Amino acid sequence: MKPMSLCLINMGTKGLELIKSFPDVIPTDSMNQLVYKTIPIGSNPGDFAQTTFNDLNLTSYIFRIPSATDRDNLASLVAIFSSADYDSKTIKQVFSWVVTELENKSLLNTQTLQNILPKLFKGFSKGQFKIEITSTSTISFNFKKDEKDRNGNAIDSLADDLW
Amino acid sequence: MSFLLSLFKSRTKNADITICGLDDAGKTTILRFLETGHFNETTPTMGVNRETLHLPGLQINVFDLAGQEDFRNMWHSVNEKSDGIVFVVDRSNAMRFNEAKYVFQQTTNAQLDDEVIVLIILNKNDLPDLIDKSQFITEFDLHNLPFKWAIFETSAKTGEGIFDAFKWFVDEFVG
Repeated sequence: MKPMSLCLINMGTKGLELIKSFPDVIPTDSMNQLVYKTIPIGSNPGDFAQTTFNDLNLTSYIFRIPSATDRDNLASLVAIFSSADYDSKTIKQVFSWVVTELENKSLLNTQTLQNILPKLFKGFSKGQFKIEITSTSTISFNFKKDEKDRNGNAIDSLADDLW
Repeated sequence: MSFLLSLFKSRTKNADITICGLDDAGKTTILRFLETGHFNETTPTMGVNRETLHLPGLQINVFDLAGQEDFRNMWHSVNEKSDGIVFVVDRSNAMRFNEAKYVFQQTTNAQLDDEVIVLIILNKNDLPDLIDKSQFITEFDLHNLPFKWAIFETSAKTGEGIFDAFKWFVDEFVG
């Protein structure tokens, strides 16, 4: 499940703006229109968006970036694919998990997210990642193990229902 | 019972209002204060927040519009159907005073029906270095505004002035 590109988008002074895309393979014209697809009108932190744009398919997670000085900002992590044949559930799970982990470690800011975007991209190709955020903070995720856990939970739930 | 309900409904007025102003002026914070009675942290509005406030004899449909430049071209379609607008200004931000004035004039000159009620809110009263109210009235040329209007000083952080401002607004609708 290798995306074409991962993007970080947030609300700037004029409107939504691209902070970083990795790899930077989407033409600027497309990207300018695409940013408004990643955070739909009326959406709030915690929402997911899934849509298509031209031949591209994308899934985004919308979240709040805390600020100590100004008000918190609105941002989205986006995975762009060239076909609709991808597991959007895993994308959603990874994005929300990364944001929650960074928030729990008080490291949720645009700089950290920009720094980890390339490693996150490679992680989607390999099916796992381990990212050192600081010398004392690391986050890791194993897609296959997590999928097994999810299946396990589903079977448990089914057993509960049957019982 | 249904007769009573229909009687009540017939006596309940409906009003559509928009809250507009530059980004980070405190529009959503004011709306949240009205809903909850206390200060809530907010994030920038993505396009529009739509809420309904139920008051005795009046139901207010609120359209809280995003203030960033990219979203201002959608204000027109909402404002021209509104019965009232609330224009919020961050009175602690002198750097954006002229931008706020320009946007206010664009809104009142071209987007509003003649009968619209205009509430102007000078928000962030809790911060230092505030723009003077009388200077604001002069600079924004409010005395020549062809609408029924009022101006209030508020803080959506402490709640100062919020209820007075909206009491005036609601009284104008209820008559």
